[in-house]
Amino acid sequence: MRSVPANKRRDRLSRVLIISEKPTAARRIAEALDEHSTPDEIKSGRVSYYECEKDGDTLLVAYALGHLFELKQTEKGWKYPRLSTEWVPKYEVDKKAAETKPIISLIKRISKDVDQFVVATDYDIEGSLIGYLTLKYACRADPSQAARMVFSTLTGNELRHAYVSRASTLDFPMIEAGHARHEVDWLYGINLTRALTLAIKEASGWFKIVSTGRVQGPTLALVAERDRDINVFVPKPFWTILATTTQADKDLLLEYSKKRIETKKEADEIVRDLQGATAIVDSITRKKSLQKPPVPFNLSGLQSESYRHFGFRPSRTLAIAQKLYLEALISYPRTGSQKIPPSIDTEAILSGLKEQRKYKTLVNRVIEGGNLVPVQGKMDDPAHPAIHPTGAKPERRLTPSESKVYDLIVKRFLALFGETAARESVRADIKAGTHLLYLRGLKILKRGWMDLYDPYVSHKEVLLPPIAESDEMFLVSVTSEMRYTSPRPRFNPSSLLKLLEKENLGTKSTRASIVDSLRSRGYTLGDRFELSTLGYALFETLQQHIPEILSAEFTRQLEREMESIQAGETDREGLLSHVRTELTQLLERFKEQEETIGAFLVSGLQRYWRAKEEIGPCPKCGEGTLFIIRSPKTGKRFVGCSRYKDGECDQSFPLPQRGEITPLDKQCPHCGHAMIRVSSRRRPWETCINWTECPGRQEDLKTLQDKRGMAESSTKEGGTDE
Amino acid sequence: MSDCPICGRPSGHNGELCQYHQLAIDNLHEGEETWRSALGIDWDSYLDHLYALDELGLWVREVIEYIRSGNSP
Repeated sequence: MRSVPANKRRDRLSRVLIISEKPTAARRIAEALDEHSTPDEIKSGRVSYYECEKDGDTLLVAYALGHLFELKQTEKGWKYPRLSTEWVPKYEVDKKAAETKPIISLIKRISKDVDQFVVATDYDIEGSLIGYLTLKYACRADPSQAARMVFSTLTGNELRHAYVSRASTLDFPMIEAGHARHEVDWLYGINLTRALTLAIKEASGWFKIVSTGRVQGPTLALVAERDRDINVFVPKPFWTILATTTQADKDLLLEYSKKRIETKKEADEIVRDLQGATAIVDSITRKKSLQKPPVPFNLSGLQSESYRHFGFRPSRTLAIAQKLYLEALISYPRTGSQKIPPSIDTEAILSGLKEQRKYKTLVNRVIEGGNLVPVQGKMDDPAHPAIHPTGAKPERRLTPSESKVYDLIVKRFLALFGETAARESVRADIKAGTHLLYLRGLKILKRGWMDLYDPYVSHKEVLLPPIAESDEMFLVSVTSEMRYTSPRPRFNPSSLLKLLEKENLGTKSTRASIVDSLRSRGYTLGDRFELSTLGYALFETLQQHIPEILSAEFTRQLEREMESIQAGETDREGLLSHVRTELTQLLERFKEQEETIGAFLVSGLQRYWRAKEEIGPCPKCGEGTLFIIRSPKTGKRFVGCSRYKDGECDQSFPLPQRGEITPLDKQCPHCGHAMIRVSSRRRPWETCINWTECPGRQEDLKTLQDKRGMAESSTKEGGTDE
Repeated sequence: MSDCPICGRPSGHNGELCQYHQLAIDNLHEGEETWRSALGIDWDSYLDHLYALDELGLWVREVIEYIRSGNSP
């Protein structure tokens, strides 16, 4: 690709401006459409656009950086209610978006003398809105005259086809829906966040942003309700019976027919009855079952599987998939579809994948199987097919995380062509007097698609020795085990995302960031979605004063109305007028109780900050409390006793200086000191506050010192960087 | 309105504890009968057993500590 200065740009009569969503997409589009696949990159300061030739036309391919324009209130002041908005350049409302300024200027400049505008952003609500706003506010063009390219992969063939068969009009219902979604979310998010934040400011003088929103509210409620159930949980005892027999020199574990025995007395009686008894195989049931290949990935399916196998948060999986899409390795990831339509050339994809040594054997197996029709899922998305590889070979070495997600997508795609798997489950009913026990086995009869999806499928076989009805089994050992009921588990990022999808809260593009926002705002602690005291304070405030914002049904109703805009059944202004009326009433109610709400939130904040800093009782003086303190002189943090100020206790402990520290409600098994969790970019780790002296932590300390020593020596060897 | 002696949140309508610790103590009382019939134990042994379990809810644990320090909510 050649780079030429802007002043040497060619001038042609027929000029077409194509607007893409990201720089990488712009480059791919330009490469695909240029007759010689060598478009010129025209640089203008830090930004650029591409110029190429096609059928005598000059095509200019410009890029946005996601949204270039954002909503801004028309009235001044950080107050509420604020119900009137306008679209302005993003750099005017977001200081971190300074890089959008030169791009908007460039697009404005090259829009002059353009004969046709073509929107080539992602084909979804956000992409369509980005294209529309760029046309309207940066190009100053008439959107009704613009054309639309629609594609699901950034491969050359598909991009060329999308250009030739471009629609003569933009997808206005989708744009209207995007417009409405932005305005509704802005109205709720900005006004409610300001109301909560200003209530705190009025009560305490502190400026602490406490946010909520149309989808964040119900999500917080789901997490709070689960957390409350766990915190008030009282376990109940039950007993299980474990019986062992030996067959063909193999120990077999028998399962008692009643899974939970409710009293110790009953459990003891069963053990007494079965101890040393000889049981008889009463019947054997064999059941064959077929297991079809898994369905194609939509975004939530990919996120869930990626979390299960690699522990990647949904937002991380989406970011990786987006990168793979921009490199034309996979199709568009923000899709709800579980279908691979016939228009996708699966044979070409398979032959492309065959060029990668890693997949050659598997692709051959698919081809030998003779079935080139993929399995389809139930969910559909008119805009994009299910996530699938394009068959293109990576042009660079993928990072380990990218390789994992790519491999998962490829193997899932290959599995769609696999044969149905078959397995046989066996249950032997074994009687000992009046007692019934089971012996269970599982055998895979045919692996089929499982071989193509390996290692992402696991079926543990339990092979039984040969047994027949009327066989005798001597019970070698019989014991009872006391166990306890457990509460439902806390959410993890994947299970919360799945629930949001089931409850129809948010969209496939926004759910992952909503899940992350609960933690980044301090409402939850760690990845286990344990609600913080601040999270509870906010939940209780909203529950008491604005219960609508916690209601999943309220948000779902708004979702339905926005979907009906996309379907062309409702108009945007009607919905917005309704939302403004409802919001005004709600905010008036809030204002009346601002003082009470503020005081309540402040006490929640105080408990939150205290919980983040309080370690526990001081082991030296026994009267003070240990807190995490930051030295005003050095800025370093350490643990110190609250009685230090009065000169009563000088107990202190050093702390790791990197990462976020969370006090834990447990003691070190080695030295008995309080435990803490240190979370940084790497995996969180737990240690005790006495970590430099604790006999159980010396190994950790040595590893740390070794690492430091290696880092120092490599710096010395590296020499002159500083 | 007074504050919950365990956590400092405002007390609920039914007594001195906040709504969460009140719910915890209600569950504690409700579970007693199950434990009594399962193991034939008294109230103090019940609390001892529970306190040793990882599955026990944090607010129930705090309520047990509160009771053990001589309070009767």
